[in-house]
Amino acid sequence: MKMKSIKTAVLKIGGNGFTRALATKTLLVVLLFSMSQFVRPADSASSLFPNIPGWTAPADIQSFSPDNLYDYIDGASEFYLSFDFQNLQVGEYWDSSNRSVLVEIYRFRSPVLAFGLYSQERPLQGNYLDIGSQGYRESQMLNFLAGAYYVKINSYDLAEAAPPVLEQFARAIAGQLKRPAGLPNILRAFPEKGKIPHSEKFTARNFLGYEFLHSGFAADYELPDRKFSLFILAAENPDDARAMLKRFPETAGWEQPTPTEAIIRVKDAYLGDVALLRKGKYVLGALKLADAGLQETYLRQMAEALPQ
Amino acid sequence: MSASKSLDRRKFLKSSVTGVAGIFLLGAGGLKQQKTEREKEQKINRRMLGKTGIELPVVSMGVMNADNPNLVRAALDAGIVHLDTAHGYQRGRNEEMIGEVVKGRPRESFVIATKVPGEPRGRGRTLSPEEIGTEFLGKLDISLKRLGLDYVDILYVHGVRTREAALSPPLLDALARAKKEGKVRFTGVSTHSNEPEVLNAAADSKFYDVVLTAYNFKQGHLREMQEAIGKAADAGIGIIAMKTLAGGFMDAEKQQPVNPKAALKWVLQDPHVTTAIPGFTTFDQLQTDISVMEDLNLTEPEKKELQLGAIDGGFYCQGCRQCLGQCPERLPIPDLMRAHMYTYSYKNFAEARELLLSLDLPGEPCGDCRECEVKCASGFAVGEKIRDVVRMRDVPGEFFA
Repeated sequence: MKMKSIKTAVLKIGGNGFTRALATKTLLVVLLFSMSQFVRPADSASSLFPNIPGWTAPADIQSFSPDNLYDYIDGASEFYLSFDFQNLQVGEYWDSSNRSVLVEIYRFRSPVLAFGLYSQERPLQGNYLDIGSQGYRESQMLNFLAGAYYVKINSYDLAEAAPPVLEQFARAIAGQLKRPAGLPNILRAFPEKGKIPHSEKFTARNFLGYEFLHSGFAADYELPDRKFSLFILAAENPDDARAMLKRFPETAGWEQPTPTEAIIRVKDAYLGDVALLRKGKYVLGALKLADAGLQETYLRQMAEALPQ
Repeated sequence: MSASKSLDRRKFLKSSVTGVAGIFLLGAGGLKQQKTEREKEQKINRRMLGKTGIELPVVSMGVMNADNPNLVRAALDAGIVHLDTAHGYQRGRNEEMIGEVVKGRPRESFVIATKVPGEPRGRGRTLSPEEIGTEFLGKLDISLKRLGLDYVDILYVHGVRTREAALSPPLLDALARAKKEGKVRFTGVSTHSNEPEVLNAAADSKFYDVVLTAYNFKQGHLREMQEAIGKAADAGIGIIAMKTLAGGFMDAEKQQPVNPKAALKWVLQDPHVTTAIPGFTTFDQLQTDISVMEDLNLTEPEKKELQLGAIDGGFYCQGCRQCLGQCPERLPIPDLMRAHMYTYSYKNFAEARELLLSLDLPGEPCGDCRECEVKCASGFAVGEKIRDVVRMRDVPGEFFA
């Protein structure tokens, strides 16, 4: 029930004082019940910032929406918005030595979108930690992913004490968020052989520079004699996947592939060698991998490992 | 896809990218030769960047939204020279990607700008001037390492919102040091909030070389923007425009997208703007922006789409000066349009009259012209507006005192 309609209902209550009070109380109960349907505990600011022994919890929590995110992160905000950023809460903890720890909690529309932004920012090499879905630490900061939340913890005053303190914060916040561990299941479809660790990415829009490809997952590979990438596009249904596949070579300005080939091979004007294979609603691809045997091996492996 | 669009795309691939599939095989010499051939084919509009001596195509690339090195490669191969990034974009991955793309290209063939924040957030305490400078220069060193470069062409203080921040002594010292050490060719500020104040500060500083500013047809303070941009340009500062799409939508409900080509052309009508940095993320968008590099003409349908008449009640002259050569009487039309805006929009009659008298116009400004030949880029009925406003000269000054 919307606030306005409840308010209107209260104003319209007639009768004597007792019946008015009773009706008003009933409506308030309905109102509170209705609101509880919309406000999830994990979204309230206080529950996102747990009490941490030895530290004073944030007195003021700053909140940013898609409309004013640029006030906080300037031009970087556009990239966040492309991953359907929903909300940012920022709070600062203090200890008795006047040292501070800044916590930024970004929420996205879904865990996959949160992974997308996280994957675009994480380094290939780093001190990776088993916190939330995944996390890593770099000198005075620790970032981790937890479901639809992407958490950044920074301190500038801790020096050598930073690693344990940052981990203490991260584990407390991850515990508070109570999101299941692990990255999106679809990433398991990328074969392990030759995969560059932490190179998996999700792009939310205009994947590979083509609007019609929408979103996609990609991972980079390195074998002794070559570097290439594999990707997975998840369409709405098999028909959409077929349509996407059909548009790919057309848009790139190349001739239609031979329809009898299971794996479609094109030489895209921008992307170079592209091999494509459809399985159900998925389109799998290999970029800059000219070897037909390797294309076959990798794409078939991916097709077998896709989520059912 | 329409046949014509498909044809355009193929033509684009052929002419501007020259069969990009082959670029992977080209060395530096090949690229240079390829570029020369392309430049012969294209008529790219170029402008000087203030007093830097750098001449840039009017369209550059804001790389902040791109995670695709192939797109950046295609942009450079299509004639774009200037890439804009920042220390903080994608936590440095953006700079690393650009570093990979430009590796092996002749250093003089591209112009890189990056940005470092001047006021680190979340410190909870005020940093000493030494700390500010040390941190700023430390971040610059990290950026150079990510980019794989010995120097950047332009280093901006990122996201400046006030005069005080633009003129912060520790930052000016740090920038001067970076320049002296050869890590930076030119310095600047970037601003997308309170831009006129920052532009004016940069102009007054006698220090900065470039300002990267939000600038678009929907800004509510266009008059101040235009004046501040003009002042900064007159002071020799190169002006680069960003946020040209004005958020991407014409309406608050985000139902009506902005025509990106028209919006880009609009900002480039201002002759003080050297180049703009649209943040394209597809090859199609790149193609569109490249077409603007070659043709800046803002067409009548494009003007209509931008609803320019709705801006400032249809009174705002953007000062593109395209009208100047068109009037047989050689009237100072931009000044007259400004006087018209003072009169009919701001109701500032005294300022309008003062401006008109300063122009030393003939008694009958439009002479024998019965029909105005001037075609205004913003669609103003120039002759009509002139006839209306020049009457202000005849009103006694005491009337406005």
